[in-house]
Amino acid sequence: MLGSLEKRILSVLHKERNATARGIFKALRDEGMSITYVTVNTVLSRLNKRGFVKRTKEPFRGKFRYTYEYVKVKDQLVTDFLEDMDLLFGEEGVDYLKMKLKYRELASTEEMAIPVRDSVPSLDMRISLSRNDVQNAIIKKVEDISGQNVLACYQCGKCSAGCPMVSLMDLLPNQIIRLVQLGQVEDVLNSKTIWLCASCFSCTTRCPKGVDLAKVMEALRLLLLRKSTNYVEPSELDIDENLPQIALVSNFRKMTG
Amino acid sequence: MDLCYYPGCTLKTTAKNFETPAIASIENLGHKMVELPRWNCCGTVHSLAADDLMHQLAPVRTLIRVLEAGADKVVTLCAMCYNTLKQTNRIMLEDADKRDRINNFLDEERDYSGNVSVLHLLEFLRDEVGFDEIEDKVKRPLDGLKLSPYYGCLLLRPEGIGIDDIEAPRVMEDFIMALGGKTVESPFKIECCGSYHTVNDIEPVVERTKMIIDASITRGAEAIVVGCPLCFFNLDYRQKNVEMKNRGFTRIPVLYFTQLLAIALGLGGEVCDFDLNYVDPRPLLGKKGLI
Repeated sequence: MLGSLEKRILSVLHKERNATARGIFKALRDEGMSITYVTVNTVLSRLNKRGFVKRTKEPFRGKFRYTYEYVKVKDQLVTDFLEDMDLLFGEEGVDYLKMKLKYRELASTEEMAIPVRDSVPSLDMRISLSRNDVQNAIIKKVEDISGQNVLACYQCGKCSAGCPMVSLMDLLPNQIIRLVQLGQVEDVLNSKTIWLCASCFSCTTRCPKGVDLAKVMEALRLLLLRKSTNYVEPSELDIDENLPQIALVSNFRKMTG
Repeated sequence: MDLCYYPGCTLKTTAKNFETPAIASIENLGHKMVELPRWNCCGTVHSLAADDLMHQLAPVRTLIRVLEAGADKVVTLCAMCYNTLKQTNRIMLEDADKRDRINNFLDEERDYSGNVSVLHLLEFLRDEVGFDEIEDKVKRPLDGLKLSPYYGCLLLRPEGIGIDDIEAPRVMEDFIMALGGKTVESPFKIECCGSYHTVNDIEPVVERTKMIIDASITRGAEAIVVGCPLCFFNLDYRQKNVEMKNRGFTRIPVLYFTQLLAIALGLGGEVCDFDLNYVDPRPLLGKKGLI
């Protein structure tokens, strides 16, 4: 993979085909980048070593200088990239890439600026919104049960930064509240996050806008539990006899309807 | 002085090792813990729903029992009881509308207006007995014992409910120092232990317990000190689950602060019910010449 500076330099060379380090330095400066000549030189030698550019020595003012030539690296880069996607995300990653390319095509025809979302894997944060989503009756219900104004949140992320359960969550606490603001209640109710929250009140005490997120999480759980559903089925549990009573009572208070 | 004491379910069963040393120690300090007559379950978790008053009734009933017993304050040991009673008490004190509705519903009881003060035993020891006083009465100082205090959530949060500063509490540190012990600071001392997840999904608990314990051990702790029976269970008993998942994990004893108090006051290991500690603290205490 290429760093951002390497990409910028390669893109100049791609345009010019053939340039000196000084020439590339000037071109980048013209593009408004603040960079030093030494840096350009260093990055160029690195690219040369990795085989992305070709270096030739030519006489210059009694000494010599290097000129650089663009080497066709498209093949190698694209192959590397695909391998990375496959390695990191598996099939999901490749599908995601296909989807992205399709959107790019569609967006360029201006027929469909906002993509359909149900087939998009969770890597994509784009959602389609309508007035009905945002004025959803369920949001009102969440606000009634929690007593909180969810629109007060301005997404600073402090709740997620301090949440002890965050490493196990599929949606971050601040994402939960953002999705509630946008009426995406279904995503939120399908999330593991609302059940992982154990009301430790870390977010509650730290929110600069005074949003009691523990209460919002409780309201979301209650939306499901009040339909007489159980998240935890006590009869199916293998209960350890050593468990303290408070563990059982609190678990069933929080997870059964 | 007689002290009105609300035990709650767990103190009477699996957390005897929390209660017995407390009762013995308080008596040694010249007070008496008198169990509240006709107490009922506190509900363990405070209901966070604005439209749910039903779950406030149990704590309110208990608080009314306190008045009936002729007391104006009630002391708890369990952090969950403390939190639930105190949060409900705040509603009864500050929210006139909810107070009226609850009082109307509980028409067989006297009206309640939130005028009982709910105390945790640590608060009582700090504010009414005084750590200086305790220091004077210590017979077996916990010399050289390196202890890492763990507060958990419900002794500290939410704001206005906790027994100390919500981000940088000192009460357990001061308490340990009064007993002659050394404190070991841990970055996780105010973070959740995984709480009730321990019933249906131990993964989060095992992860949290490992982090909390490792952090204390790395900083040189020889034992962890807690004030909540659920934190105790997760940090103590769940060490066996942590061990199964992590080779090379070192066990560490977990102690209730009341067990330390009893030992420092010279009451001996007999009042501490160490049999109920999963990781046996006796070898450590014996090595230090404390029992």
